[in-house]
Amino acid sequence: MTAEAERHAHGLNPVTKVVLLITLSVFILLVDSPFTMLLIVASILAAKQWFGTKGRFTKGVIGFALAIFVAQVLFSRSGNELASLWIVSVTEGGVDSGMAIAGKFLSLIMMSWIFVATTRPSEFSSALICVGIPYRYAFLPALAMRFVPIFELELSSVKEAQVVRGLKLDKSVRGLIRSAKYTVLPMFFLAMYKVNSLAASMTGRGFGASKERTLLHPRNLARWDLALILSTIGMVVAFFLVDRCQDWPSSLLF
Amino acid sequence: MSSLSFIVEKGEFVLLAGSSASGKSTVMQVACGFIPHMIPAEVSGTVRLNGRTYDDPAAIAGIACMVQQDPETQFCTETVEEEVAFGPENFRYPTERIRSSVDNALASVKADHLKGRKLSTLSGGEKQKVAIASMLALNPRLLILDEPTASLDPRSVGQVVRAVESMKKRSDITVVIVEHRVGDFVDLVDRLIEMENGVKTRDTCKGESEFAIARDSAMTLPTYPHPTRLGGAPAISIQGLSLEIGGWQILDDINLEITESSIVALMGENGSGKTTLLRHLTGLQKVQKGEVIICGHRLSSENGANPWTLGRDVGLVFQNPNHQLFEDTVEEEILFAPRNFQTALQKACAAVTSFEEMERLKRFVHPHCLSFGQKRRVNILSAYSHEPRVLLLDEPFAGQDQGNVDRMVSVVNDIHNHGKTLVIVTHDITFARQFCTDAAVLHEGRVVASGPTESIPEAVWRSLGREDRR
Repeated sequence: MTAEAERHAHGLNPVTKVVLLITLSVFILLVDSPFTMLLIVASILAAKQWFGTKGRFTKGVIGFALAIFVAQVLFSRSGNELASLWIVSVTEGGVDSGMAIAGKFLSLIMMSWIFVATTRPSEFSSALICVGIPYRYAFLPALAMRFVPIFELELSSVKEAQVVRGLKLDKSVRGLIRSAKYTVLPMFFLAMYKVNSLAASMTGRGFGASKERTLLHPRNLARWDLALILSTIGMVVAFFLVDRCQDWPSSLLF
Repeated sequence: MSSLSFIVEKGEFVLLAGSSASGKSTVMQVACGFIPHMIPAEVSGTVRLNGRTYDDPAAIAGIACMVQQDPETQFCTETVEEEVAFGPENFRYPTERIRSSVDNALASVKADHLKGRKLSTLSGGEKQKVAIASMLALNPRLLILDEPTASLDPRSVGQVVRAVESMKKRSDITVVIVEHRVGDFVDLVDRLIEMENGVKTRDTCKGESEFAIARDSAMTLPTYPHPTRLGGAPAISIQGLSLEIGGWQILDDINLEITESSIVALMGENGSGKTTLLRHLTGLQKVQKGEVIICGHRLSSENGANPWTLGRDVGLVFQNPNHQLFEDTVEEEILFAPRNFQTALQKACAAVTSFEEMERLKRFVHPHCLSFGQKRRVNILSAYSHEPRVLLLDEPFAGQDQGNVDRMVSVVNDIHNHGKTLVIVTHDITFARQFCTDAAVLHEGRVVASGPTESIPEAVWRSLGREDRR
């Protein structure tokens, strides 16, 4: 992430980012126009590039989006026929709906990546506490975010330990069941060990001893955050109303 | 534990020693209230802290604090400052007091310079110092350090020892160090308590003859067998191996030749590239630059390895025993690789049952129910059961007491007697010098010395740390 991008990303309160994420997700779910969806995907891609966000499983996500698009093109038949080959016919409606659904999927995934990449877990919990969430619950997402990379590393070690001892798993159902069997057991014991150790460490430092806690670096919502939340919600509601009340120009948009 | 009684005086520095599973950590977990309140157990008798009994770990927090073995698992934030401030925040200290508590705690362990750092960028020793500081920030009356040097390289052990040394200047704190390796801390403490099988076997103070005997015994270096060099053709040949990830040079022009049936100690500080080198030898890490030839398999950037094919000839024992236990019984665990590689199961059974150690391990016990030391031995036997020509062991002795180390050395020696080549990552200089036929020392991704152990210059051994610090 560039210094400027980092300054902007971390300038926003994490609660603001969550609200924006939810609001924009609702907006994206409402959009049906392929043209608008293309614009949204392009904007989110640009934001992702600007923040230097590295998406994990990029190949898998793009592959899945393509699969959604192809499935829609092949099986959704509405509107004018664009091409046909044997029993397969490609319609305008199929392409539109493929672009819209694949676009929704990509947009939601990429927005989540941006949120995770630009939000520090402890900042997030601090912001949640500041808006009145009890700190025992506010810590949960932060702990989850902190432990995701650790468990990813553990999982990778377990898989490697399987490989060096010759476990070759095919992608059949039987292979998947065997993979789960040999992965779940060590991961369960590793998770139990880590959870016990963390719980002892947190309890030993007074976590949960009182109803409230002080924050060394509180993250209160600033006026700018409130303005951004309200304007984004307002925009989405306005688009929704326009879509429901008028045929034009919303038909271009939705 | 049974009928255990002792009193620790205010301001005392106590070393609670004993072999693995002797009950020393358990006593301290009882003292902190984790047992029976978080870990159910039947406990009789009383524990008084500062003259009072407590029935809730949350009430004990701030009076007695315990730093656990692995700092990584007890961190719940991202930066050093946040982690050290975590306790004072929970106790609702005012912001200014939190700031001063953080500064004082970090200064107490000589870690002030780490304040702005992210926890993920710290070395093992630095992480342990931050874990200690995060407890000191609460200004506890009693600080318990549970095996604070397990899994650390000698340099990091030195950092932790100096941190404990600097705490001695404070008169308001009582410290109990739980360790099976006494040598690192024995000169710092006022008193030594030893336990065996849940019973106190020795309780002696500095200045007493008993203390001097215990100290001398702890300082005596262990002795290992001296396997004979069998010699032979090269088993592993590494030419110009380099690896760069994200601008970091992990390995830099590694050249190494390892002959068949040799035992090679792979040494160097944490982060010097030892594990990455092992990963190249198993095909888990793709060769970026250079070439590796292992048991006739040629690995290069153009010619990638298939870890499954390589696995028949090269076995690897990972650092964490829990990563590599998959089956429901020890016997099934040992047959896991032979089944996958479709080698004759009878032969595999014969390969491991000839080991004296196999008889000791309970065959039908769930592997995850074994002790840490037993798990390590099952790991080695199960990585060897399909009889690979080369066996790689990544820090097999980390966190083990001398009894367990001796038992593992015996297993490794048996494997060597079958003519196998062994590469062992270790920080134990005595083990490397006595037991290994060869050594390779890495520093910042480069080989700084390699060859027969007797040919490694004394200065290189010294650079690896004190010989009694493993």
